[in-house]
Amino acid sequence: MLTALVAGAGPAGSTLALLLSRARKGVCVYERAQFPRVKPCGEYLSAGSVRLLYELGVGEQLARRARPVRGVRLHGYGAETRIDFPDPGWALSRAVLDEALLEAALSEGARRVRAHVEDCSETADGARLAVRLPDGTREEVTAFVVAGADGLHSIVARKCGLAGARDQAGRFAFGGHYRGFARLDEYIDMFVHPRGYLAVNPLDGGTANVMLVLERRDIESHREELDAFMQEQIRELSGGRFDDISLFGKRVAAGPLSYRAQRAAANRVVLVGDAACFVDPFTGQGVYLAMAGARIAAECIVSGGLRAYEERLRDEIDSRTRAARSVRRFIGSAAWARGGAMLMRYAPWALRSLVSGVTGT
Amino acid sequence: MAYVITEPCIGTKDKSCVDVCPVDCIHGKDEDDMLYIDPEVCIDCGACVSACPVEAIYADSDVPEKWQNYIAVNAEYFKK
Repeated sequence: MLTALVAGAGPAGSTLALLLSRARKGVCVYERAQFPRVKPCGEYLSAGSVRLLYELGVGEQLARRARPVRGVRLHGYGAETRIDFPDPGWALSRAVLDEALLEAALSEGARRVRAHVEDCSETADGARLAVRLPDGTREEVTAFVVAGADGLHSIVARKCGLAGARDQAGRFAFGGHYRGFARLDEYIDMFVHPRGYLAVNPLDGGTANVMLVLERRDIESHREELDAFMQEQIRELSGGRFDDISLFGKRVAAGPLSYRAQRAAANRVVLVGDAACFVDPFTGQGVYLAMAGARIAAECIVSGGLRAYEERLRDEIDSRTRAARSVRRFIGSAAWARGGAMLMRYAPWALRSLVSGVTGT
Repeated sequence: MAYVITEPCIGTKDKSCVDVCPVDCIHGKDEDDMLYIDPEVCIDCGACVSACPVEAIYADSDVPEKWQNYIAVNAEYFKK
C-alpha cells in the first residue's frame, strides 16, 4: 500500500509529494488539470518561499524565470510609503512554479494520475480516494494517508467533514495579467482603501499581475460589465497611473476570502494549502504557507505522528499572518480610515515595520 | 469558461449557491426542476461548488461525461 494519496498538484500537493518521495515513501498525486495552467493568484513569493524553493531543489531553475521584488509601495488615504524587504521576494507565474514543483516531485519518484477526485473516506487501516479518470471510468485507491491539497473548495475537506463555514459576505479577488505599463520597476504597488485594495506585481518589464480585492456589494452592482468596472477601478485607485493597461489572457476570480477548515486533520486525512486555510492575499503568504504546511505534513506522516500536524500548522499560520491580519483590519476598517491616513502621513515608520515583519520574510 | 449545474440539482434546488454567488448568475423559477448558471455572467470564482450540498456543480472542463449535455442545458436556459 502506498504511504499517501495527494489530491491536487499545486504548491502544497507537489511539495508534499516531493518530500515524501525523498523520504522513500510511496506517493501518488491526483490532479484534474493539464499543466501548465493559469491560477488566480497574486504570484508573489516571499523571501521565505524563495529559501524553501532552494531547499526543495528548484530554486536555481526558477530564479531564471522569476523577477525580484525588492519591496512594496503602499498608497492610500492621500499618502504613500515605501517598504523595503530585508531580503527580496520573487514575482513568478504560478503556471511556471506549479509545473516546476510537480516535475521535481515526479523526478524524486512520486506518481501522478490525471483525474478528478470525487470522494474520500477513512478505512480501517488507511484512507481511500474515489477518482474519475478522463475517459469517465471510476477508480478507488487506498493508502495509509490521504492529503487534501485541493484548494479553497476542497472536495477532500468536504467529504471528510473537515470543511469550515464560508464567509457569505466575504470579499472576492479578481485579476489577471495586464500589459501596457509604461515602466515597471521591482516594487509591488498596493493601493488600499476601506473596502478593498489593488495590487500590481511586476512580472517582467512590461507586464504585471494585477489583483483587485473587492467586497461583494461592490461586485454585485457591476456584474454586467465587470471588465469595464475593473478597468475603471484600476484607473481610479492608481490615481491615473495605469490608464493604458489592458488584460491579456483570462480574467480569473476567487473567493470568498478568507477561509479556515474546521480541522486540518482527521485520523488518516490531512489538509494542506488553501484546503486547510486560505489567508487574505494581502499577506503575500499564500504560497509560502502551502509549501511550509506541506513540509510539516511530510514530517508528521514520515514520523507517524499525524496528531501533531494540526497544532504545528496552526502555529505556522498564526505566526505568519498575525501582523498582516492586524494591518488589514486596521486599513480595512472604515472607522480607522482617518487613523490610517494619519499613520501613513506622520508615522510611516510604524506601518513599515509592521508590514515588513509580515511581507519581508 | 464557466461553471455548470448538473443532474444532482434536480429535485433538490437547495439554493445555497444562489446566496453565495457574487454576480447573481444562478437562476431558476419555481416551476423549473433545477437551477441554472448563466455562462455569460459566471466569473469562475468557484464559490458555488462548495456551497452545493449535493455536489451538482462542476467547472465546464470537469463535467462528467454522462452529464456533458448539462453544459448546453445551462446555456440554453438564458437564451429565452
